[in-house]
Amino acid sequence: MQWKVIERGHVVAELEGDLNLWSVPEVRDSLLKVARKKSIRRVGVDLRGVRAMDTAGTALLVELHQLLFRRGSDLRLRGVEDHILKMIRLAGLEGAFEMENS
Amino acid sequence: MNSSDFCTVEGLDSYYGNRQVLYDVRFRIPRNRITVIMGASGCGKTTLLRHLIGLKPCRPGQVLVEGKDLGAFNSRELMLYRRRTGVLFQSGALFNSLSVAENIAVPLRVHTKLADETIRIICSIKLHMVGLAEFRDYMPSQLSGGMRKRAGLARALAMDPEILFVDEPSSGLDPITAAGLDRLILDLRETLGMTIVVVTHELESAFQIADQLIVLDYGRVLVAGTANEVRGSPDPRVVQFLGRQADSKPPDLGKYRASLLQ
Amino acid sequence: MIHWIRKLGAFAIEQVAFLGRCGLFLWLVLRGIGRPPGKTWFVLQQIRFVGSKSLFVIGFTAAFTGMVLGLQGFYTLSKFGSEGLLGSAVALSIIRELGPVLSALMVTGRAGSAMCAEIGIMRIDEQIDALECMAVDPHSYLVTPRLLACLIALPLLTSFFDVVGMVGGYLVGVELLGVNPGSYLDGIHSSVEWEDVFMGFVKSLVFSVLIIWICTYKGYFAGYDEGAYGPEQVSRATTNAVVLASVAILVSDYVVTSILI
Repeated sequence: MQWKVIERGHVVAELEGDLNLWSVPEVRDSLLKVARKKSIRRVGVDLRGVRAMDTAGTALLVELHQLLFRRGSDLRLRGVEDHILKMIRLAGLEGAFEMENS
Repeated sequence: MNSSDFCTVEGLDSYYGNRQVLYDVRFRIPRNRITVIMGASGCGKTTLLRHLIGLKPCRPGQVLVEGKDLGAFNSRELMLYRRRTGVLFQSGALFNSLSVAENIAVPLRVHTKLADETIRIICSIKLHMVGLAEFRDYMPSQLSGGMRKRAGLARALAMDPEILFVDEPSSGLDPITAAGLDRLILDLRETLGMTIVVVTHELESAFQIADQLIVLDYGRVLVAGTANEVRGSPDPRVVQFLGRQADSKPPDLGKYRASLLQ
Repeated sequence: MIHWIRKLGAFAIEQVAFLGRCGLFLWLVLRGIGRPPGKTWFVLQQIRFVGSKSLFVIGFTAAFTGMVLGLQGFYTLSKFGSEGLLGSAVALSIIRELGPVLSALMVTGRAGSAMCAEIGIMRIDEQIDALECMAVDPHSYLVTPRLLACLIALPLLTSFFDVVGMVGGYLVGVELLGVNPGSYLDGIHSSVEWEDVFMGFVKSLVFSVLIIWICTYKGYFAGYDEGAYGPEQVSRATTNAVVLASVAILVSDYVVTSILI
């Protein structure tokens, strides 16, 4: 996973590989650590490099959303391709995430 | 076997003690398709299912999963196989002392290092998928039969399995609830491309959902094919099974009469 | 003729298979100790179930056992003019024998039968199959925590029994029958040695293993012999479990006593 700092308080995490039951715990640790920082106002998650995502991946996005929402910050998803959208739709969460095209 | 098959069964014989229940069963389970194993009660379909999920041991060479011999799996290979499969048992088989959400969490807690919060969210998502979102904290004894099956399905799907086995999904359910479950199974195939194996004796369900139908009778495969192929089968037992005709004369009239009249 | 030989052979094979199953069961349960999934919370719950919730029953049994020992002991000892030894008699009988054995029998009847029924019901409802299909070993998930809980709870219950029993003996012997309190208590003090307490402790551990092994095995394999999995099989399994465990306690009591004496 790579981090890109766009501007002060806005970071984008570029995820790569599979986002599933096995990879989520590690990704979660880094993502949440950054998202909890007081100076962060917007977190972008770039999913272009994600080959496959399962329910655990969806759950991670939900948790990230919850965390940021409570602090009044933003979550934007980028590079959401069909296979990822399908999982989000399956969870009944279409339209719940703000998407960005980049 | 070609690579679009998840599993092939090649000459499976099965016994309970000295009693043979399956005779040289052969068929293929293609990936991303729904295979329905159908037959009258006692035809051996549940035994067949138990072999496929690894609960009843097979002899080497009888069942191949992705080319590897299920009968020769060591405990690690068996564990990995089980992690990729989800099983819905006839009654749901929910653990009585745990709530619905905690039931779904069991495999996640045992096999993964996911955080509690992640698991909590996954359980909510799975419950939503089966239409039980408001029932996460209910105990199994507080649910109806249909709800228990759906909860059992949510648990079978907890680890996002590649292959799902379902034992008698419609048994004990009213037609509407049964149709709902059929719809769910079809959805799983459509949206997730899941490979699904269903054992049932309900004709309507079977023809609704099956990509491939396998009809068993007294432990033998009568016919295997698409719905149309099965419907067109000339085999008299198949015709009888599909036509819901009772056996025309009782099995042993002579013995019965002799026992009463002599 | 051949028919009878074949039957005898089949029977022998069945018995060997049965012993194998029992041994394998115990091995898998023991192997689960210290392995994940570590269900500490569940062990504590079981300690509460086997232990704290049995306190009243154990206390009650112990009190009356102690009291009847006081009566019978006084009666027997007075034939030799040795009433003063009542304290020793009651204490040694309870600590070495009645404490461990009666506690174990009470726990069998209460917790053992409940465990057998619980696991048996899981068996007939395919819950144990479900665990296996999730690649969760049912032995370490269901049985191992119960074994650990019993190994902790039963010795503690036995000690509780011992104390209450000796108090019961005191109440009858001293208060009711006029034995000198000093001799009663001094008798306990001088005749009870570490070996006696140790014997009671070892027995509790042995009985724990037997109770859990037998009761959970019977529940786990409810209906296996008949190939039928229904409520009747569970009820039969529970009855058999309690009877078999009780007999096993009494037999092993003799064995352990003869080894340690």
